[in-house]
Amino acid sequence: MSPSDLILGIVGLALTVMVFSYLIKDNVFFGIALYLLVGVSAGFATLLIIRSVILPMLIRPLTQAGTQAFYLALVPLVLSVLLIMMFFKRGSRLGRIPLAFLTGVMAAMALMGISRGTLAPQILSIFYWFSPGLVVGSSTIRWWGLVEAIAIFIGVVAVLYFFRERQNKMKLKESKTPVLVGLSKLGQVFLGITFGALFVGILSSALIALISNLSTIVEFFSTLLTG
Amino acid sequence: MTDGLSMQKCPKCGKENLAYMTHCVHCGAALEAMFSFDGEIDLPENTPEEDVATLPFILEEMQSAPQLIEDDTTDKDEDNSEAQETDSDTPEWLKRVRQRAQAEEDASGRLTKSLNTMQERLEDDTKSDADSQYQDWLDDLREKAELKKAKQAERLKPSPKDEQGVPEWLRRIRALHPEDEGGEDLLNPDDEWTEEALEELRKKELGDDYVPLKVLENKEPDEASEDDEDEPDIPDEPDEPEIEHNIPEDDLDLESTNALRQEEEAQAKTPEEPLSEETGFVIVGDVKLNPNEVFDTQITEVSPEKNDEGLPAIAKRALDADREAILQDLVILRGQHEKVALLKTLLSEEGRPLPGKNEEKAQRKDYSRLIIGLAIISILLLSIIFIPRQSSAKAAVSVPQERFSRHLDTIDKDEKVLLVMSYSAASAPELEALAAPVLQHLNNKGLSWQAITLRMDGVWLAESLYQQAKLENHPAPVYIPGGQFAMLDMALNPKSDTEVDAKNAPKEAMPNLEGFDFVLLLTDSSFTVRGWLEQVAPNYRSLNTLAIISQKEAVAIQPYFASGQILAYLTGVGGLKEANLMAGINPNVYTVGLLSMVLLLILGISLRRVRDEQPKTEDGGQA
Repeated sequence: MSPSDLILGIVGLALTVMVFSYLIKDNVFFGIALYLLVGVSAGFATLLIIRSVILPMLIRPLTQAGTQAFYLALVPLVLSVLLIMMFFKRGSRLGRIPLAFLTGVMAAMALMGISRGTLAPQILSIFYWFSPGLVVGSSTIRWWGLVEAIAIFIGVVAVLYFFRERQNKMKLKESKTPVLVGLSKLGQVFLGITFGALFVGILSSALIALISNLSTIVEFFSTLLTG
Repeated sequence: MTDGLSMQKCPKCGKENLAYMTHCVHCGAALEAMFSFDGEIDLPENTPEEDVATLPFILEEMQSAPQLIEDDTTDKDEDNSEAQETDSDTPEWLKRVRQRAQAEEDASGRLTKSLNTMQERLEDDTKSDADSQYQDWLDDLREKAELKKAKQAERLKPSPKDEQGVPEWLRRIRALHPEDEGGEDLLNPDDEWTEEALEELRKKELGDDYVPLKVLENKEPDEASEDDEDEPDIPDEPDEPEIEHNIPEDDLDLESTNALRQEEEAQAKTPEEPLSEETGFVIVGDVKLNPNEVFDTQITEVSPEKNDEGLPAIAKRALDADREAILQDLVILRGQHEKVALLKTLLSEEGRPLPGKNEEKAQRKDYSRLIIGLAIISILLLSIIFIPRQSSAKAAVSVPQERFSRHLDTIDKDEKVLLVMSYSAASAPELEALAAPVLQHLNNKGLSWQAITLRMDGVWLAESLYQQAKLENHPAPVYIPGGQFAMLDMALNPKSDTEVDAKNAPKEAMPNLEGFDFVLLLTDSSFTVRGWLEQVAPNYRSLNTLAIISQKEAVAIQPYFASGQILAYLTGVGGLKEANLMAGINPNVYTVGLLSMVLLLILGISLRRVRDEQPKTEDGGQA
């Protein structure tokens, strides 16, 4: 083991123990580790932004006066200056201009993206499950495929109706039809299963990260001991 | 202040007045109010001016009324019964006044009481009731103020002399003090007056407000009135330092706060203690003695033009205005009392911590978190050390993982792969364990691939990934700022090499998506996958998308896999079919850890339920 690996290993071990000390209570060692992470990340991000964004996309084109890149770079320059004006009390209103520009562009982009990339493909995929080619395979009906398609369809409708029922409850309008009430309950079941799967995923990810860190520590000690 | 009170309309002018008003504040006409009997003397309108009840007349009548003279030797109850029995010749209005005063404790009742207490003051009776003392004192101050104003108004314009040469101001004084006419030589109309005597008389009557007549004559009436307005009635008090408080300014300002304090002090004083005039005005208005703010001067103020109306009319007006001002002041006082209570509460609470804030937390040492954490860590450490690593070939492979492995195998050597990285350091162990074997496999096949990162920390995280995949010589990923904006920019504006050179940017910074066949998304966020599928994939239908994603987000991208927008994805520790592509995490340790966490979760839920039910049982036992 090289000296640098040894030092890095000790530092990593110390930081890991400092983070784990949160199990006792929120203490200064946990705070140091946390602030160290935030500080290093912020410093790294600042340098990277200067190197990858400000210099090549703003400063360098502005040095080429008269070119197309120069005039194009004036737009982000003006927007950036307006954004900086938010720091000042008098010019805070001017800072809303770039924010409004960003918000508008982002909303338009999200709207178009969702409709093209999520909504339409997901609706089409639901109907795809009912396609005769998929349900009827080799002159026999694929019952399991049909059940799966119906389950997906009912799940989608039930979840959608659950949200509608929730809105009605907020407006003190409750549905009295037993079928619709049952459909809403079914949607709740689907949502419960989804959230349960999400929770398991989060738990699993945390466990993997913990095992990975502990494995690194064990390997470090085994290397240290065996040479 | 009068929002909550009902109004009544004047039968003469039709304007609105407060419900307890006996006369219209606009035209002076008598109102048919519910409290019209409260001390009001209803006189016919065609009564000659000489017969109109004046203030001295009222006082005289009150003095002469035997019912108003209380017998000190008898109790109150006896007085009440006697008064009801023996008042055969008592005027009806006086009976009602007295009944009202005894029956009611509200504002109108206090008014009638005040009339009674005026009589009591004439008899120099000592009173123990603080409220009645206070009311008497207030009435005295009110009367003084009205007389003072009448004098001031009279002083504004030198009054003309009548046929006998008697000045008008002297006639008014005589009318106001008829009982002194025979007793004092100064008020004898038969005496011959000299200018010096008149000056002396004015000086005596006006007191501090005395201004030599010569000075007044030199002044114009308007000028004189302006001077009076500008002139403060009391010397200006030094500005008090501002006190920081959280009381709304419009509800209770600092001056009214001081006024309320002084009011309380005034109430706490003994009856024998002489009360200053300043203190009295402070109670109902400003700290500074300013009768214009305290009383309704629109009614009580006598303009110079109306001086010829005669003294009885002025006295009646003064009486009505006095009564009205008292009623208004009583309403004000009621509000002031409420504000005093609020102020007392606020002052008592000032400086104290808010409820719930800075409360000492229960010093209950809870070691459950430490115990659970140490237990899991110990179990995992023991598992890592003692449980041998096994091949994942035996583990069940999910459909997405199987498809991922299949696509990975079918990628030709001529096809290009774009690796899009977007994950944080916390997810690095999980994702690197999955991605490192994949990259190693691609590198072994001799594929051409390029890496970009959408996060800033992806630049140095890639070094660890490359190290695990044993790709030391591969160029580091290029950071593409802008997130989904950058994705859309890449999709809509594929950069040619010429454009890239024109911006003096590195060539590898602007990947041309047209040249790639596969995209491998390496991310810990489903939003990145969604962003790619929404912004880029619709514009490049031929671009096949694969994903390596953290397990916590795998559920969120499952619909995209079901719809075919993602060909395959890799997640968790299930691994691929090939043992050599298995992630670096020991799956057995993962299984042990998962079982431990589930057990601890169940145990924790059970203990929590027991702990929650325990207080209920104790409460039930106590009940």
